Amino acid sequence: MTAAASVHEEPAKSYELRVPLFQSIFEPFDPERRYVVLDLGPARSGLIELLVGLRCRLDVIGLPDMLGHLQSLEEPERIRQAIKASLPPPRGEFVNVVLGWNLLNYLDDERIQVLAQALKSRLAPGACLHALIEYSSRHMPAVPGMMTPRDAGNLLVEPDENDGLIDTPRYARARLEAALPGMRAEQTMLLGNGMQEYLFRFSTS
Amino acid sequence: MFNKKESSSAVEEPRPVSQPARRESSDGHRAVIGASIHVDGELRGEEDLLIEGKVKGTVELKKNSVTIGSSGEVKADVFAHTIYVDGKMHGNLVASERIVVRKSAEIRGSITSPRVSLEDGARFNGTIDMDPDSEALKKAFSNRQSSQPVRSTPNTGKPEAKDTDKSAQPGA
Repeated sequence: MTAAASVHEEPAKSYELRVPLFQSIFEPFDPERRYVVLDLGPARSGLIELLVGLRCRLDVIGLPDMLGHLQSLEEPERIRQAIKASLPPPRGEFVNVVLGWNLLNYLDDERIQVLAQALKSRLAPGACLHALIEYSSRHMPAVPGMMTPRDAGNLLVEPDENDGLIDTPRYARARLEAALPGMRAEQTMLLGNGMQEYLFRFSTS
Repeated sequence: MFNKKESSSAVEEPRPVSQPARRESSDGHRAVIGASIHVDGELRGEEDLLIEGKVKGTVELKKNSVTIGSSGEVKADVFAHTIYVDGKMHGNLVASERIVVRKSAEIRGSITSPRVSLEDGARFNGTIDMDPDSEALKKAFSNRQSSQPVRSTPNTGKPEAKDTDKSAQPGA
């Protein structure tokens, strides 16, 4: 967890954010093929509307509700067990897409690594992880705000600053790759709000 | 958007003429399990049901709607034509037509239906399967006809290949 800072700036407003790499995940979806999408965030209507009509299974684990608990755990094994307990049963299928939204910003390197290890056995070869990482800004809301797809290429970002602001970890690419064993950053893009959009690819090799 | 199947949509659609209507209860009302009622076991029937009490076990109303009301607490597998959730649910929801999760709902388990809508604010942990060809749906409604969406791909006259085990690489 990043260090807390009592910083008060202009109240944040909802805004629309163009996310080209997010769009690149879903555009090639074949309607005849079955996909498993793992959403690390809370259930959101916009994502369901995006996936409806596709042969999709969507797993939702609601990581934001667990953040306090995960941050209170010290032993990696207990963190891993907590994450595993939140994962729906695999039912013989592997995950093709992991949606991390802005949540990696709220985990330290060690917890990101434990999360990646917990997910590793569930990922299909070639699976991707999409994440939005704070890059330009020095501060971010203390609790992750909601990000909801308006369509495949745009998210509605609703920052929640009721609990104040904290320092951003400002993860660099190499640091994220080190914390995500088996993943490499395939594409990155600087977005209009100063966040860095990442598309990581999982490789079994 | 994308190459979606045409008839699957998050928006309410008019029922096709050929689609058999869901069976309503004979007096136009639905059965109610009141807030003080606890049911433990298997519920079957052919009328709509509102659950405001506590239900454990299995609920099978495959031609009707089941509503888990705001005070309802269900730990069960529920099979119905349409399912509305306002209350607490732990288990598997399977609907041949549609599942509607309202913002007051708290669900842990699985949702299987070709049409799913969820209001932001609803608490959900588990799996949402919107694949009209999913095994769970086929198994529960093996003789269903009404929910099979029309495919957007042209009919070549050849049998359709089903390959649920293919490992796709989105974003590649």
